[in-house]
Order: sequence, then structure tokens, then C-alpha cells
Amino acid sequence: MPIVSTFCKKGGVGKTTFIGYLAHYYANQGKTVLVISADDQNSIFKIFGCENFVTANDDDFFENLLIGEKKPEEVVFEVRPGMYLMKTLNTDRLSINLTLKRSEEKKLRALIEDFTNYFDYIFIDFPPSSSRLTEILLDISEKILLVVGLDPLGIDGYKNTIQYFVDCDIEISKISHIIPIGYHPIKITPNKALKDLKILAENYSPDAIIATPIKDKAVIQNLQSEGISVFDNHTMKDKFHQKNLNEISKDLTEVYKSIVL
Amino acid sequence: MNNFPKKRTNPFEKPISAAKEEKVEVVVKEEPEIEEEVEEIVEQEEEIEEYVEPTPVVKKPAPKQPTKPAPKQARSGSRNSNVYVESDNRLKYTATMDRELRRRIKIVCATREIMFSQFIEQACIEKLNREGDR
Ligand SMILES: Nc1ncnc2c1ncn2[C@@H]1O[C@H](COP(=O)(O)OP(=O)(O)OP(=O)(O)O)[C@@H](O)[C@H]1O
Ligand SMILES: [Mg+2]
Repeated sequence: MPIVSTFCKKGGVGKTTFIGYLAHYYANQGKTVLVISADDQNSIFKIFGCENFVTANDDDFFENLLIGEKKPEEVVFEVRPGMYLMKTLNTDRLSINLTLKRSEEKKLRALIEDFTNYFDYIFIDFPPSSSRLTEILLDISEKILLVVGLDPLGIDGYKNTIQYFVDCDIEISKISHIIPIGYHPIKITPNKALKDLKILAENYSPDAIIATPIKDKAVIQNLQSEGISVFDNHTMKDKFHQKNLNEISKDLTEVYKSIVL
Repeated sequence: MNNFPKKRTNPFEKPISAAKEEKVEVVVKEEPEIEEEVEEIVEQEEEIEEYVEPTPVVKKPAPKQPTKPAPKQARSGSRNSNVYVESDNRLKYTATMDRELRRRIKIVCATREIMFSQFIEQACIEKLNREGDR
């Protein structure tokens, strides 16, 4: 019942997208999965067309569970069969609490430890910013998938993340995979970035496996604006987009298969 | 947008080790409602596809282009099939035109440092000059 996270200090690289579809992939295989959005933007709800769950009530956040106001079943949302999400309200405030009160941290750890009894996989979606909450949750994570954008700033994001791990004493060996995103077979920038990333990774995170790079596919954005997942068996209106969708779901499936959690 | 699960199911009822058997049925649910919702996706894709990559990398492989067959083209047999693709579902021309042709044009554009759309404009002017506006 592993706890798996996607992380990167750089924002907008595709962490949420990657872990959301990863969770859906496992749910489709009959697993029960939980995704905790440690990012209070809760954008994972949007990806699955369920942003209404974020705004419907203001008392069913992860924080409400942590302070004992709610039961676990009252703060989970089933967005696809077998796939559950939890939302956070204000992770900055939560982090301050965690810093000030040691007992809060213990509670948090025990809570997530307990979740592992109910789910086959627990995924944590992180914000790009770092906080006490991030540190604790990264520490709880058994595996960290480091998502890296294939461009110069993305590569800086990789370096920055490694630096952050060193500074915060998070084991770099927990990074089980590096997920390069934004690949294109003939464009220079992503190809160069991939090369640079391989060299860096060899030096700084030698235990991590570099996954097959995920292509930059605009169809993902189209789907996300509609709240449709790549694993929804959705039919696109025309062949061109259908082809792109098929391609990206196939690519993602292959990557997900190769990542043994 | 879609509000799939109307009701919440409680995953905390039983630990997974105990719940293993029942789970199989729960998983099969499908969500049919989303099927019709796609609208206007084409427009968005347009920009991304038409964006002319400044790809000097491909300058070298350029001569190899003709070796790769254009599989989509087989249907309209004539020699000109490279240029005129008849298709009902061709919603966005430059995005769905023959891939090899598009690639060749992009490479030429990159070499000449002009935009894809400029190239097309030039081609149209030439064609009109040659054939007249009738
Ligand atoms: N393979 C891809 N091809 C094209 N676009 C993608 C791909 N993966 C993700 N995106 C797009 O990139 C944007 C950012 O994705 P996402 O929200 O998953 O990133 P993030 O790292 O979670 O961002 P944040 O740091 O804000 O949490 C979204 O618009 C998403 O649709
Ligand atoms: Mg995110």
C-alpha cells in the first residue's frame, strides 16, 4: 500500500496531470486509490471534471479531518469508480500549525498511515512551493516521482529540487523515477533538455530511473477543460484529435506500466 | 463540468484486505454522460499545430523526406493527391493535411525564415496568377 508522490519545485510541469491519470489508471485496474491534493489549488478535481466538489461545501477539507471535525469518509470524493480525492483548504496555514505544534505532525503521520489500510495506493499531489506540510508528506512518501519539464527552466527545476532535498534532508534515493514531460521528437529544445537531464540525473539522482519522456500533446489541455480523463474511453469528434488522444493514452499506459510502484 | 458521482461511497467502511471480493463489481461502472460534450476543440489545437517551429535541426534530414511514404494519401490516387486531400472530416487544413507535405513545408519555412501562413499565401498567389481567378 505504497504512498507515492509527484514532486518538482518548478510549477506547471504536469505533476497533477501525471499523478491524476496514474491514479485513474490504477483505479481502472480495479484498485482503490486515494489522491491527496497537498496543493490547495486542488486542480486535480478540475482534471476529472469535479471542481464542483471543491466549492460545494467549506467544511469537508483535509484540515477538517485533521482537527477531528470530520470523519475520513466525509472528506473523500469519488471522482471515478475506485478513485477518491481529498482536498486541502489552506496549506500555508496548515504548515504554520505543523511547525508550531509537534503533536499536529504526529497526528498527520498517523492519519495517513491509517489510510494505507483502506487504499491500494495513496498518491500525493504537491504544489511547487515548499512548506512544512510538503516536507512531512515527502518524508512519508515511499516513492517520489520527480516530474521534469523538458526545457531550460524545467532543467533548473530539477536542480532546484535536488538542492531542496539536500537542504531539507529528504532522501534523494526516494526519487524512484524521473518523468520528463514535454517531449517532441524533432524539436531541439526538448531533445537538448533530455540530454542535459540524463547527465544531471546520473550525477545527482543515480538511483532514479528516467521514464520514457511524455510528449507534449495539446489534446490533454482540451480534455482537461472538459473534465475528461485520458482513460475515460472518450470518443473525440474528429479523427485528428482521436489519434492524438489514442497516442497519449497509449504512451501514458506504457509509462505507467513501466513504473512499478 | 460533469458531476459524475452523485453520491459518495465510503472507502473507509472496510480495510482493503477485507473488501477485496466485493470490489470487482464496483469497478465496472462507466460514465456515459461525457460523450457528447466536446465542442470547439479544433480551434485551440490550431495554434499549436500551425506554430512554425524554428527547427534548424531538421535542415539536415530534409533530403530524406521523399523516402517516407505518406500513408494517408492512398485514397485519392492521382499524382496531385499530395496537395489536394479530399476528406469530410478535414476540419483544419494545415493541421490535417498530409503529414509529409506539412513537414516539408515547415522545413522550407524554417530555412527561409518565413511563417507557414506566409508560405501558403505565396502559394495561393502563384496559383491564382497561373490559373486566373475564374
Ligand atoms: N503531456 C502534456 N502535453 C501537453 N500539455 C500538458 C501535458 N501535461 C500537462 N499539460 C498541461 O500543462 C499544464 C500544467 O499541468 P499540471 O497542472 O498537471 O502541472 P502541475 O505541475 O501540477 O502544476 P502546478 O505546479 O501548478 O501544480 C496544464 O494545462 C496541463 O494541461
Ligand atoms: Mg498541480
